[in-house]
Amino acid sequence: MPIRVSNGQVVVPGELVAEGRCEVLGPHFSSGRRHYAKVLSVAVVEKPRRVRLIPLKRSYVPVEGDVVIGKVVDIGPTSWVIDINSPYMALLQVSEVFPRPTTLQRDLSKILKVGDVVIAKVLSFDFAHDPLLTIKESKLGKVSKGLLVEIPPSRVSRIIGRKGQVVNYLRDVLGVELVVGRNGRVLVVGEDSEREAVAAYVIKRLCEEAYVPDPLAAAKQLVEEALSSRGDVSGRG
Amino acid sequence: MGGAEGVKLLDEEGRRLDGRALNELRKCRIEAGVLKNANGSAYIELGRNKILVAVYGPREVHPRHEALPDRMLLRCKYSMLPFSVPDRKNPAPSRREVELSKVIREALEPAIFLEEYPRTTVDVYIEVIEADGSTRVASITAASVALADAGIPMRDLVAGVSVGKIEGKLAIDINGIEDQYGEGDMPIAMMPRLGEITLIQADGRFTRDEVVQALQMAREAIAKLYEEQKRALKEKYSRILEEVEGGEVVR
Repeated sequence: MPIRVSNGQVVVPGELVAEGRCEVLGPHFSSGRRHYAKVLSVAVVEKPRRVRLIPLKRSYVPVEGDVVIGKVVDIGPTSWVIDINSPYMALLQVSEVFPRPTTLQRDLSKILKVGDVVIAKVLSFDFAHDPLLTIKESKLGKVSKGLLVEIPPSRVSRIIGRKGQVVNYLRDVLGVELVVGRNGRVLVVGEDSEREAVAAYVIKRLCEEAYVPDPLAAAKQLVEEALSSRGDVSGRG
Repeated sequence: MGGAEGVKLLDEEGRRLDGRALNELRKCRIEAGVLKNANGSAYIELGRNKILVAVYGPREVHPRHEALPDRMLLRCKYSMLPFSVPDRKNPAPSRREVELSKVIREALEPAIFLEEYPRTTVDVYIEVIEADGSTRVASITAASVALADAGIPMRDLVAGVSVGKIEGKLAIDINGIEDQYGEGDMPIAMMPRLGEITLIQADGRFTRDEVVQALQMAREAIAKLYEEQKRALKEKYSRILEEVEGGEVVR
């Protein structure tokens, strides 16, 4: 038996997950032929010789190309400092906002002020330098309306679902637009504030559990529950 | 010998003041994830010790110049609340607390993959709510659970226990009175799976054989504490898992 854990088992850091020839996915480290968990995670045995470790908590580490949702926390002479819910503060430089060179005299707070929310893309990041962001692309930029939902970064993949199934489902059934930031922030924009609230509720509830085997099914159930209970309330009112 | 100032720490049957055998741990209970606002937390009760640990991070380092370019900074703050001891303790950090913060940090550091998040910090706040001997090792045991709960990458957990010398005999996990009137105190912390020692201090006189024996006793006690640490972490999250899956594990 090369795999030393059962499916759905919680493993603590340093716990033996597998031995010998098998594939371990997710945060782990190896010593010789033994593979150990690196962080507190749930082990999912995918194949007889393959186990995936899903971390229960993880802070967001920027990756080039990720779409993130950030908050402006400070304004420098030529850049904005953006909090992207990560150990590293991100920079949004003026050159990534204006197409042409500009002067230092320009008041940056007129464009983005402290507290503004932006959808941005990570331009570059390595551990020696803070991440740089850009908003020079379609669908990126300042957010003017909607609900911002904060979720643990380790649960983002669940909200997206397999090939975006969960996001697409919520979009279709609730008629809201969703922007999922890789850093654990989800923006819900809808015509109807009631529907926005339902979407936010479903997202929050989906993230409560440590591990959801089928996020799409769970989402469907939560939406039905939420819609029917809301229907009752409005019926009474 | 035989208990300084005539205090008898062992009865005729060799039992200790609280009725324990020499190699018996006090009752230990650990709970993980007790605080909502911290990234990770743990609470430990070891006999009459009550200690709460909160972990924040990895996060940006303030002041900025303290950040390390190639690894994470680990900062610990051990403090005793004014009401944690019989006579009110001045809340200002004492020499002892500053020193314990340092030794606890050094006991935890070897277990953490510090290079995973360079230029960041992890802050560990240890609050002793009630103290009754061996608080530094109990703090280490709880702090490593809190670190794991915060999702910090680690090689192993760290657990600690103290070995004391009372009436010429070695005793595990000494309490406040045994610490005060005994002849020696040796706090030991280990990474249980790796069997490596991350902290060893000694106060009092121990012979070479006694040190060897103390290490063996500590190793056995730490194995028990390790089980409790694992239980605390797993229970916290397994309970949630069971609720989702209706008590059964899906294939």
